Amino acid sequence: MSEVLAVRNLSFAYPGAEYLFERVNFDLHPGEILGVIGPSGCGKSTLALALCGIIPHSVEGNMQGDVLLLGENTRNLTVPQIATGAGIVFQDPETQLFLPQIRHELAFGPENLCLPRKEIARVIDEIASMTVMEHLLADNPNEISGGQRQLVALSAVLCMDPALLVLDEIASQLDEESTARILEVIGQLRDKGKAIVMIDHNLARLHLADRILVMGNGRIHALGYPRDILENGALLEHCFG
Amino acid sequence: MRRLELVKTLDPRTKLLLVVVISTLSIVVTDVLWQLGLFLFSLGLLHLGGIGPVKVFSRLRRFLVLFAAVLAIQSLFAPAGDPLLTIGSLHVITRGGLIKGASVILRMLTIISSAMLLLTSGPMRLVLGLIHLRIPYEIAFMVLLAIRFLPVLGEEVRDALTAIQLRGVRIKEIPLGQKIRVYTYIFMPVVVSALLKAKKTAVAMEARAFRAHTQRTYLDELTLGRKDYAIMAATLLTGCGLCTIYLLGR
Repeated sequence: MSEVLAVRNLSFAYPGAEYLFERVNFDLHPGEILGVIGPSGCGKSTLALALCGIIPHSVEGNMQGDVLLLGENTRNLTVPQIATGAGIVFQDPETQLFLPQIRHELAFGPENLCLPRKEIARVIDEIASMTVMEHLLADNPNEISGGQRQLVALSAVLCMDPALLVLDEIASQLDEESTARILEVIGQLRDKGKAIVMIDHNLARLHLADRILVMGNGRIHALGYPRDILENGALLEHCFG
Repeated sequence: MRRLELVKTLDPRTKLLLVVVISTLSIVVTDVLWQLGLFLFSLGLLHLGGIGPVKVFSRLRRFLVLFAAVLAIQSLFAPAGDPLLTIGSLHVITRGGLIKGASVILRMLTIISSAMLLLTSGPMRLVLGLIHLRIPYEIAFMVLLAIRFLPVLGEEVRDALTAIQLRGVRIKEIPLGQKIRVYTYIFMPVVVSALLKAKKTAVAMEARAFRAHTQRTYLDELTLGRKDYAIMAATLLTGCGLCTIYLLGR
């Protein structure tokens, strides 16, 4: 099966700073979850921005190497064009949710993709049913809990049906119940054939991952199966102390 | 309840026309009684839309200092008629100055209160209304974001002031000069934070394919109904009629 995402020798440095990560390489196939782990400040979120084309298009810096999304180099596309194939959910939902009603948040992406009205309504119903938020559709995103907000942000991206989902520490500020619910949805998405990059600093939340990429000190320490990573005590000690 | 529904369900374009006509009339007329009539008419419309006079005046309260300043300036620099307060040879308050000041204030009140009529439409319906008026959707969404983020800016200022107060600065008790210095300290962080939030939101919008195409579709639909056409026609006719009567009667 051809890969959804191919990262080739990807390096990035913010202006005037050293490379945050260098020569990152990996592929991601449909129905596969890649966990990305590393200590704070190691460049996980920056990598997430690069996978969705926000780097180099909207964030300044020196990017080397290529990110190929569904075979297309993200350098040659605009961020809105990339968004039709890759969706990102950020750690902080505050700036991601800007519309007065959850229903409008979910409709925003499909509207931008010019889907017909009936199709938008159908997609909203389908995704709201999957994430169990039908009862929240008329609510204001600012008046719900943090866990629900993160689910709304995820649902809003899912409504665009991207082949690749990048989830940047979306469960890091949530309680156990909300985290379990989000992980359940991620499992369903994998079963539906979505390629998922799941970034987290907590290894326990990455139990769904098929492979794990360990970042730290500006380089990739390991890319392998979760069991191998977890059994490599020296590696974990080196990366996380 | 039915009267609330009538105003709320009006198409935002109808409300925009009402606002434009009322605001235009308030600029054209200079007579205080006419302006008072227009202001009361705006209040009546708002009342029908579920925004009662108490709510309107509580929102207008923040303009009180501005109104007082306008009244003082008009009275001082445009004196006319009988002097009501004289200091030395200077007529500080005159009857004509007061009337002119009241006229300016009523004009401002009418424009602000008529614009409040737009609050009776949901923000998304307002955006749709603007788009139907051939305003590019990027600009219409900018208006929506401004509505969304203005209260956030207010919250940021309040948070910054609270943080300063928690460090032992009693803002209400310090002299004006120091107060201004405190405000200059919080000005930059608040502006920078607002700009960062705006940038993050812009990136988040693009990451959901905003501006991927020159056109976009919409989940909600706006259609001008019979009552919209009727109110639009009545507004235009009444507006033109009142304007003519006022100008001929001068």
